[in-house]
Amino acid sequence: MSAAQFAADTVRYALGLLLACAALGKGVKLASFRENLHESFRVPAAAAIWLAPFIVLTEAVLAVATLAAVESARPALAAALLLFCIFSAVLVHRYLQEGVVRCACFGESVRAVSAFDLLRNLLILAAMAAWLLCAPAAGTTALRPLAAGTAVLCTMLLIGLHDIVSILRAEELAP
Amino acid sequence: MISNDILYLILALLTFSAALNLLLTLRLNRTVRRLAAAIPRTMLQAGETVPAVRGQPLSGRTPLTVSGDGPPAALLFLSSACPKCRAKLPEIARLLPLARKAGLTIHLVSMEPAWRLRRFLGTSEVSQLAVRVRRHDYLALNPLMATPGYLFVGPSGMVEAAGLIGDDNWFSLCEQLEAEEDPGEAAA
Repeated sequence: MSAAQFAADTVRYALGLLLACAALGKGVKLASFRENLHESFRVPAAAAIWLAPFIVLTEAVLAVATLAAVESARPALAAALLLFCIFSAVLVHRYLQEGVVRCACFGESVRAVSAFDLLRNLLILAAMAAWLLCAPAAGTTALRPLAAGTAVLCTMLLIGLHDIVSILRAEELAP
Repeated sequence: MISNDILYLILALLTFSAALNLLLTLRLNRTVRRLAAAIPRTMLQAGETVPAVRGQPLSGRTPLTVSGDGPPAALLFLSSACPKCRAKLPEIARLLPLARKAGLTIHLVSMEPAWRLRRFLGTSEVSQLAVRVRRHDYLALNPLMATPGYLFVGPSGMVEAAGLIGDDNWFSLCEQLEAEEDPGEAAA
């Protein structure tokens, strides 16, 4: 198994896990996600009622397809890339316009979006594009647990990027 | 001799352990923040000494001290995220020449990034008052992060009043400044 195959497996697992965490985070706090769609993204309340579960369901299906096999991951990640591009573009637009916008991207409904959340989305988009452009075939079975473990670690680092930076900066705790 | 498969498995276990460790650290951090938020905090009270805080003016390069010993000062706390703050800008701009005449220094203390502060203040004269300070220093002056808030600092560096822009003390300051501007009208 080449290093490229190992990296491709790791990236695919990480992206699948990210999609799964996004679906789970939003699904658990669906009411709050619906509220955020209306308040932060100016989606009409009536549309947010069906749009919120639709997004959650889409992310869940894409997560399963990404994790299942390389063949199903290709169309799934292409769709996820499109979805994330739209999401991130709207998020960046709202962030620059309003200054404070809540995303609930991974269920964190109280905290406002920070520059590190935008950086996280950018990294996810780059990983999706890189995998779609140059993903080789799946690697050998023996290294899959290691690729999965590395993917879990990368997923945690990306989801918690804002909090990790806050801890590293030793930010003063505010009310 | 350990086979490659065993080594891969051990490495996988180590990465899962590192991920679990990270998860626990983030959970702990969240718990600490929740507990810290539950501790009741208060605004600085009249008579308390205001710590001397240095900041970077939005429209200049030389750092300046916004509190501590010195001439009387009014520190204002506005945030681009608070709709009420935007509505207060014309009122504050109107007070500026009056405050200047009365010898009262006004600083708009903020910890927001410069680009966001510029966008928020726009071409308002209030942007000349903006001073960016570190988060730690901002919390020392405005522990509740109350906006639109103020802190009146006396010449000795003591708090004279603290509250929200629009409360009784704020109106009292506005009346005093207006009375100094036009003593005849005030007397009438």
